[in-house]
Amino acid sequence: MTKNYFSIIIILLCTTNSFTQEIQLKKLYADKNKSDITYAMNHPLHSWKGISNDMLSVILLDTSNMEINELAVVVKIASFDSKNSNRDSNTIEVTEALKYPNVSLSSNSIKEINNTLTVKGTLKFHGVSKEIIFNAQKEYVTNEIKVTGNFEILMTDFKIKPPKLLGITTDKDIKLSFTVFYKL
Amino acid sequence: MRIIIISFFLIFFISSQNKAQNLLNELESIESNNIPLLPEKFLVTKKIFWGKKGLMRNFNRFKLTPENRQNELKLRKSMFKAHQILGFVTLGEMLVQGIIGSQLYKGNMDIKNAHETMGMMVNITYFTNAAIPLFSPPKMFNERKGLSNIKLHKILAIVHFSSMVATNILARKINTNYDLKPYHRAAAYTAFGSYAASMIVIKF
Repeated sequence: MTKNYFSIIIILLCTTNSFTQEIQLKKLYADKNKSDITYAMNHPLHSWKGISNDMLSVILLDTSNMEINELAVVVKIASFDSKNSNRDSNTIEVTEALKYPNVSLSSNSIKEINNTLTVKGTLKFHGVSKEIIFNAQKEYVTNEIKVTGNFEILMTDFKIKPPKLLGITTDKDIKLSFTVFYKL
Repeated sequence: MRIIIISFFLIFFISSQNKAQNLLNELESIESNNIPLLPEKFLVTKKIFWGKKGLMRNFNRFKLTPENRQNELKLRKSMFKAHQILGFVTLGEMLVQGIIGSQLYKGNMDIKNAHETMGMMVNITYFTNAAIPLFSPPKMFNERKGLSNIKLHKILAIVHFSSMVATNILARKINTNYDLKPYHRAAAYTAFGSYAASMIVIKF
């Protein structure tokens, strides 16, 4: 009985400690006007890029050590502009964006060493979730945290058939790069 | 005691997992999933069939819903595949017709029938192919600002379409006015050149 009381006290103490930690976490939202995410793809005949300035992102910043604890990102596929409306329309078709309109990333495993972040998270694209790991750089720019980085994904990992142009299939990898500003 | 400790760590682990998921849920609730199903502007020929109240909307399969629109985009893709294949076929026919035509100009009148037959074949494949982008389901977005390869493709399409019509009109008039021959040839060469160029620009 004494043991049980003891364990309850420990749990209570831990929970209280956990709440104290939560108080130190600050939720920061991305500045949509300054942030962007770009995809780049390649076809034997040409390469192209599509950019989205319509990215929603939020991080939980531990104010005690100014480290990012958690992050979430949502981007609407229809928001990518490759300067060619036919191609952007094909992207909607290929990725079934009317059924799966967003690409999202969530992570609760972010390690930071000298402003280099190693992010381990879940990328959800085309209704398929996959664990990914990538590096990003963090820097402080007048009242904002700037996070930049890039990583690659394979369309086939997300059950997307690489599109064809003039009978030739595009490369199956998509290179993603991002710059996100979080207001402090 | 062991059960209490395990369940505590389990609760702690789940709550930590849920935090990231909660952030994601929060963002997804902000992000509207509504994508306009049709662009604001598209060709009248397409509007007749695929507009909000277009003829195709009378069929259940083509009612304007996200699922049906996804299928429409697939249909559009198939139609544009056919457009590419017919494009190459027509270009080949035009090339053969150019060779036959140049022989005819040199006075080899034995191939006049072959020239007319090939002319008919070029017309069938060319105008069938021209109809595909005019009547295919519309894309998702309005034209982007600035010059793009597709815009160039469309500008060149106006040139080769006009030249093809002119080539055909002049071909008929040559029978009564032989002096029109050089103009017929010039129109045909313009059609071939702009047609080939419109295919090349797609590459970029």
